Amino acid sequence: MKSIKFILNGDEVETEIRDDMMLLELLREKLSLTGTKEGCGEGECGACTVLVNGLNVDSCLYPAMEIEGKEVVTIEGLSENGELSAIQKSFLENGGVQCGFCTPGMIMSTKAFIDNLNGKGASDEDIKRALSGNLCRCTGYVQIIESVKKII
Amino acid sequence: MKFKYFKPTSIEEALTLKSVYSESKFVAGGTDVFVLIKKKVINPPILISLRNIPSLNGIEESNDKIIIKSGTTLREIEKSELIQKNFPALYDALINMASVQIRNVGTIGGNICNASPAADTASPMLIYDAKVKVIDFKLNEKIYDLKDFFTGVKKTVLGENELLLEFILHRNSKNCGSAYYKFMKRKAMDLANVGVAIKLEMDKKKIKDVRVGLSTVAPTPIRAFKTEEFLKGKEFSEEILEQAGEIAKNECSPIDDIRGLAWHKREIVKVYVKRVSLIAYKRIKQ
Repeated sequence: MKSIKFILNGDEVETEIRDDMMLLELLREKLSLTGTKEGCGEGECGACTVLVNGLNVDSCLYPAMEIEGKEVVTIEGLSENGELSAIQKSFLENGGVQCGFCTPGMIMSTKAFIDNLNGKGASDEDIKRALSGNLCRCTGYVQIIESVKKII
Repeated sequence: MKFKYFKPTSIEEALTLKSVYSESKFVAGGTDVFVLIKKKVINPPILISLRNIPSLNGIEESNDKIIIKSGTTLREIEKSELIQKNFPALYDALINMASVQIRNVGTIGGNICNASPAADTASPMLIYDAKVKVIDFKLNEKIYDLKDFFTGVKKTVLGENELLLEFILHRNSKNCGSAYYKFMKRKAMDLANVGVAIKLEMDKKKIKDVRVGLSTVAPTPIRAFKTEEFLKGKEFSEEILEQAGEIAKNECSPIDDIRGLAWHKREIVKVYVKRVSLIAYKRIKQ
C-alpha cells in the first residue's frame, strides 16, 4: 500500500492505494463516491468519466498511482451549496436522463467540453464529437444533445 | 490484475528499471495496456510508467524540423496548430480516433509501439516520412525510418530494453497537400476497417512526388510503393487516380476478419485512393 495526496472535488485527500488500483476503484470502493459508474471497464462506454486536471478521462483505465498531486473532479463535485450545476439542471429539464447510468459520465464530458469552449459556440457536430466516448442505451442521444445545446 | 507500478522521472531511470526487472513492461497512457491486462491477455508483474518524464513530452520546432516527443498525448497533438497546419492527415486521423477520454491519455508513442495494423496515427506518419529516435539502456541512440519500424502484427524493431524517444518530421513544401480517411462501421469509437493516407506534391498539373500509406490491409501499416511509383510524374486526373486505386487494391494484403472481408477491404482501398487524393489535391489550392 502507498499513501498518496490529491485534490478531490476541491478538498485535499490523503489515502492508501494499491499499485494496481484504478482511479474508479479508489473512488467507488475506498472513498465511497458511487456517482461514478463502471460500465464496460475497458474505456469504451465512458460511464466512469471524471476530470483529472480539467481533462475528461475514463477512470477505469486511469491508474490511481498517477493522480498524486493532481486535481480530480467527479459528478459529486459539481453542485454548489446544495444547488445542482447548470449542466445537471439542463439534463433534468430536457429529458437527458432516463435510467441515469450513463448520466454522470455524460455530464463530466459535457463539463470538460463547455469549459474548453471559452465562450465560443458549438455545432451539433461538435457536441456529438465531444460526447462520442459516452454511450447511452436509453434516450437515443437526441435529448442529451439538446440538454448540452441549451447551456452553450 | 496484480502488478507493481513504478513512476520514474527520467529516461535514464526508466531504462535502468527496465533492464533490472526483466519481466517489466513500459506503459504510457495505458489505454491499450490496461485493457489487455484486464482481459488477461498479458500479465506483466511490473509496469514502468512513462508519464512522469518531462523530456518525453511536447512538440518542438527547429528550423525545418518538427519533433513530436513519444509521450505527447493524442489530444495535445490534435490541438496543436503547428500540427494542424503542417500535417493535416495526422490531424484527420486524430480527430476520428477513439474518444476524447482516450485521446486525453493515450500517446502517439503508445499508438505506434503497440504496432496494430489498424494504428490510426501510423499511415499519416508514414506519408510524412517520419523518423523514429530510439534509445537503449546504455543510452545509445538510433534513428529508424518509420517504414522500417514495424516488423509484423504488433511487432516492431524495438528491443527489450529500448525506448522510443521521439518522432522527427519535416515541414512539407508549399505544393504539398495531404489527407487521411478511414472507413468505419460507426462514426466514433471504432477501429479503422481501412485507413488511407495520401500526400501529393504537385508541379503545376504534374504529380512531382507522392506517398500512399495504408492501414488495416496488411500485417503492419504499409507504404504502397507500387502505387506511388505509378503516380509519380503523371498528370493529375481522376482516371489516373482510378488506375492507381486498382494498383493499390492489388498491392495490399488484407485478411477476412472481424472488421470485414478481404475483398471488400480491397475495394475500399481502391475507392479511397482516389477519394483521399482528391481531398489532398484540394488542400494544395487552399
